Amino acid sequence: MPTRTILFHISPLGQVVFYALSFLSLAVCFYGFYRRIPLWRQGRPFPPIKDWRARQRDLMAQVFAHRRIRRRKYAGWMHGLLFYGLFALFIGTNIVAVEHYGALLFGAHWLYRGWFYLACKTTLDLFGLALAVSVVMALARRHGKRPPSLGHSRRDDGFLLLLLGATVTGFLLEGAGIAADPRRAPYAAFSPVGGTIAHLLPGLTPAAYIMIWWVHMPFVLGVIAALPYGRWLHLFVAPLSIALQPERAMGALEPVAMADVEATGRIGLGAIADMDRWQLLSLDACMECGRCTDACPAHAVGKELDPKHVILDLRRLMATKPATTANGASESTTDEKGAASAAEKGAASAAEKNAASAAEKNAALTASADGMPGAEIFALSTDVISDESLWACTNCHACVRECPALIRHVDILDGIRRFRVAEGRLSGSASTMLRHLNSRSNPWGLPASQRLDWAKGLDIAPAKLDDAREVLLWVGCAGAFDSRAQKTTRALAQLLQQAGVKFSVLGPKEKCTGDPARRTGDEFLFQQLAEANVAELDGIGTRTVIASCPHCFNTLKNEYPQLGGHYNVLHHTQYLAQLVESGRLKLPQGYAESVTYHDPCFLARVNGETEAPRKLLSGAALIPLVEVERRGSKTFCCGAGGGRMWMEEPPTQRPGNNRAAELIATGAKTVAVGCPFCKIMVGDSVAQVGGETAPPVMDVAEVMLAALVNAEAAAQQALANPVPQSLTDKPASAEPLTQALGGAESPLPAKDKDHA
Amino acid sequence: MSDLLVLAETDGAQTLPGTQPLLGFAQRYAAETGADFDVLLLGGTEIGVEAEAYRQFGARRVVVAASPDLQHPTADRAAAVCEAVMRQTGCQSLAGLSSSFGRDVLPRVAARRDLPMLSDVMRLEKTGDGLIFQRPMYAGSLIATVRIEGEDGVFSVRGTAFGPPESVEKTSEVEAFDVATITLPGGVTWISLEAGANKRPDLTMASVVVSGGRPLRDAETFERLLGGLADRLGGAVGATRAAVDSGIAPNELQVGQTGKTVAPQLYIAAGVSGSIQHLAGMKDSKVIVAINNDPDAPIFEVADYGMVADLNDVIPQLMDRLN
Amino acid sequence: MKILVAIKRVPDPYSKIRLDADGQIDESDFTWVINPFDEIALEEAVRLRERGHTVEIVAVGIGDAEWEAQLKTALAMGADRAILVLDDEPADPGSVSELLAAVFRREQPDLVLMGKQATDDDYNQTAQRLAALLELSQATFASALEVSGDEKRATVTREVDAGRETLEVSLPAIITADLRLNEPRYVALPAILKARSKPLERLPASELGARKAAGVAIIKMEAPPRRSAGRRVQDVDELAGLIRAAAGRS
Repeated sequence: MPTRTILFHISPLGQVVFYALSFLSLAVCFYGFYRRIPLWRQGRPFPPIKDWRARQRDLMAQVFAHRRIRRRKYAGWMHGLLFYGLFALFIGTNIVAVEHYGALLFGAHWLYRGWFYLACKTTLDLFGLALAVSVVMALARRHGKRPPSLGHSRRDDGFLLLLLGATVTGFLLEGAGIAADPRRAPYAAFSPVGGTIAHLLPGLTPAAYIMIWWVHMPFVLGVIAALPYGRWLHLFVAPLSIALQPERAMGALEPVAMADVEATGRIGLGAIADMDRWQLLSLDACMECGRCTDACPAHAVGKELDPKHVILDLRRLMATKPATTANGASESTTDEKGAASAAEKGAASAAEKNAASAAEKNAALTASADGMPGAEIFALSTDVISDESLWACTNCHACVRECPALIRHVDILDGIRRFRVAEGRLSGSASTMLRHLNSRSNPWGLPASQRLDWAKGLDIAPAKLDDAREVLLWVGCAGAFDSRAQKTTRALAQLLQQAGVKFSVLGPKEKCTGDPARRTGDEFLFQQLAEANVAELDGIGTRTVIASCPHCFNTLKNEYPQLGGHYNVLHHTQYLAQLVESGRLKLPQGYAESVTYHDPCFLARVNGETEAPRKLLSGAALIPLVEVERRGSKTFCCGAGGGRMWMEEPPTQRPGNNRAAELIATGAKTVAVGCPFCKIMVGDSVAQVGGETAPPVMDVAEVMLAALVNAEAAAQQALANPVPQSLTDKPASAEPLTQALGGAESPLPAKDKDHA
Repeated sequence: MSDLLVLAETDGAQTLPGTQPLLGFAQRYAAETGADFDVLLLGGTEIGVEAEAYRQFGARRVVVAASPDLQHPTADRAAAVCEAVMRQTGCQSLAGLSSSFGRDVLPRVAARRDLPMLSDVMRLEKTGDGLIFQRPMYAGSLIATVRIEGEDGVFSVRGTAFGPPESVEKTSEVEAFDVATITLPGGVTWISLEAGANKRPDLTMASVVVSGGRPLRDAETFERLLGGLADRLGGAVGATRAAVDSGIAPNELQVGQTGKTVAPQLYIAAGVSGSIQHLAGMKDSKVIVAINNDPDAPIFEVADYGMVADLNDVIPQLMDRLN
Repeated sequence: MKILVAIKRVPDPYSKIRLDADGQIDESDFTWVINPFDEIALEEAVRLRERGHTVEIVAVGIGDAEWEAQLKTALAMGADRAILVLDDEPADPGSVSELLAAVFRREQPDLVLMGKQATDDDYNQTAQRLAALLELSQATFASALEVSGDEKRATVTREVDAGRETLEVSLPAIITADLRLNEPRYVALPAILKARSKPLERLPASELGARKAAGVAIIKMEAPPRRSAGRRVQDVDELAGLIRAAAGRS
């Protein structure tokens, strides 16, 4: 019967030694893991999880299906082979253990025999081979074309060699086992690698087998012991971190209640203890692959920011500075959270009003701040992450989207920003922007009375109380004030009118959503603006909101629920696609130039919408969409997000220039965008890079309107012309397309305006 | 009102063209009040050679305070000299140009002599209530009509608001002030002046100013387009705060509330949106021409001629046609 | 070293300035802020500390109780303490400089920093007057400031009409900030809350015994004559002709 003897020829003394070594190895491994636990416990409690099924799905997708790891071909294969090799061997070892100890109850060979045994043999042999191959691949990558972002140390070589040693000696042992045990010889073919090696070792003595066994075991035990002492710790921690990740959407930052700030005197991430336990856990989940750094647009233009090193530096800090004082403070925070559980809904305004009286008597505010050793308060702020790095982040989430361990770099950076802004460490043009938000409720500091200037010549009414219109058009500050974005707003409004959609706007009562404030670190300014907007939107009974700015869209959709604002929020391309789908808006193919599309980060990556704009563009353009290499969720940032729009940028360090070159290289005659800030940044960069022949940068809505106008013109020409001409024969290419957009009057025929 | 000492605009080596409208103001002051005025030329040892040129404007005397110690007249020293000359000449009031030199020196003298001071005087007029003045406030959003308490005052005068002086028959006496008779303060050491390499006319005095904003993109484009156009018109170049802040133009070219005030015959604003702060520095220009690709830019609301176009296209064409 | 920073409260420079029916400035819509140039001066003081000088920063304002808000912002920006000289009289550079001189004599600072002008009355006098009253050196319109290691001298780059002038002044001195000296930091609400424990002294102006300087009486204020928009030109040739005519060339 096919089977094998466990601990074949190993003497009782040898077995005792083996068990002793195994326990030692497991103890070292367990300790390595265990010593991290108090480090994570320095943080605030884990964010609550309600939907465990979703977490399970993530775990399956990321750990077993390797969804993100696979994005890189070579590394993906390598990791897949390594992961499944190790996983299969781990299962195999467990089967052997069950067999071995089960024998005490059921007698020897009760499980590990027959076809099951042979199937296991073949499987383990092949997975062992996979493991060997993957380790060789890993070594080859590290010593061949190693991406600079990967990093390398002798430790990495050491571990890989240990693993390779364990695998190779494992095969040797397998071969030796077959060679030394005549009972196994007939089944040698079921272990392809082991069997081949057995052929090379004819007549091997049991003593030789024992020798090989003693060579193999230390390698295996060494691998087990070494696991938690290096980047291989992610083997345990990454699945844990993926399973326990917060439910907050990628585009939503964590709200803070003013009451908490008053109670603790702390806001944002100023020390390790200010981070939550999941965040600390996620630091250990990092396996240092460097994909975040490779994806970072700020890093790509030579800025100091390196997302991987942010994580590694914080990890180092977590291990070296246990912050007991701060931990105490954070414990008390959680106790008081019950009392101040208004945190989620509109606590800030009430808190703000109380602030005056409360803070006056609240000696704890300063006492707790002063009680903190200065070094700890500033640990995150000065030693670890420089101001330059911190403010270079565009919040594009490319790092977050690439991270196989689902680390949220952006949340951490924005948390540190919160702390530093509260410490008065933000200066420069971004601080001017925040001043404008404070005094004028828009980042440009323009008077609210100009908020309807974009609508000159169009028939647009500001919303009235209990205005029961279909949708609310959220114009946004860019859409209202920036001349280029105003054109998008005009085009969108005209398309809505064309489709007969009854829409309203808040007009002068609209304020900035607060996104730039929140993303640059002024949480309370964000809450103040958001509360005012929620009150205004609720006041007129808003249900559906359309925003042409992905930043407004993201904030309204993902962050306003934190402050009690629950609406059906759609990006304008999503809503227009619905209109086209339902037939309310007929979209003729009237745009004659070739078009490429630049996905905005906050639409495509953060909120997953990549199809609606493409459907619209494909519908409007006569020539199929020319796609740029980095698109969809892999889109490359224009450089405006995270408040960068309002920060000075030397021309050589504009992330948009890289992007513009890529877009121009597609050869498309028009660059379509879906975001006012992309329009500004990509527009400037395309003009700078493209010079005289730079293609125009237009919003999807503008392209659609141009298509519509051209089709109308062509139709009218066809009517006027005695010789009938079909639309496809001669698209309105004779008409300069963009000119029609500039006029003050609606280019649509009067009859269509009646819908509005 | 009392007799007026006029502190000629100077860089220490020579007097500057801004002295002309200042003398225009002084003549006006004298005409309205019946008081006399003296002119003070202050500077290094060479400054005296210019005295002759200032004798024809009706001043009672031209006082020359020349000394190597005044080669770079810092505010503390210039103010000490003014104070002493006022004592010597009996002038109880003082006027200078509202320039970086005048603004630095005049308030110091005002405090030393306990006088009220008016900055940026744009107009003066004799009324039944005595002499009244006009000056801007809130970046020119308001014009205040004011009166000083008492008979004596210090005035910094907006060069763009007054014309050049008229020549008169009577020649002024020239008198030297012996700087050695007073102790000059020594707390300030002049180190250096990094002058803008400007071969063009003085911005505040030029009859044509070509000014640009951030859309000029970089220093090279700024100089090529604006400098090129200015040179064809014999004009000076100006810039918005945004252009200066982004390093496109040197700071001494800034026109606006916190920069220079200009009022040329012709002001060409290219790529200038027209913020209130910028308008404060140029809206008294005689003819304003605006070129901007944003049809709603506020600059068009003050421009006599506006063209909605890309300055990168239009300016080279203009340069062609103005050759 | 001790640095005195003078703070004035002004309407947000972005405010629309309007006159009411009585010809007085309509303040109903104003948001009040620290005079932007004073804010730059204060920022420079804080940066001197960040550059390694041991600095005590005292912010001083002269006005009514309303000014506390701006002084609290100054404390949040980094001033160590603040003095509010309570005085209901309208600010006039002459009298303000007399009061500041009295505060100077009381505090004996090594340096006074303030804005080159206030964006409301645009006088541009107070610092120079203060320097004269105290017989101290002055450096106005600073765009760069460096204090020597022994804190006895300061090197100041000034924005002057001819370019950039560099002076060395012996301390104590009065230095005024120009626009490009720095860009001030942003003060968020938590920072203001934290600064509440810093001392803010309220000092009646009468206790300083400063004399009242001769001033200026405003007879009336009015909006400047509006320039009306001219016409749009479509054609470069026409524009060139208009420019040629306006420039007095044919």
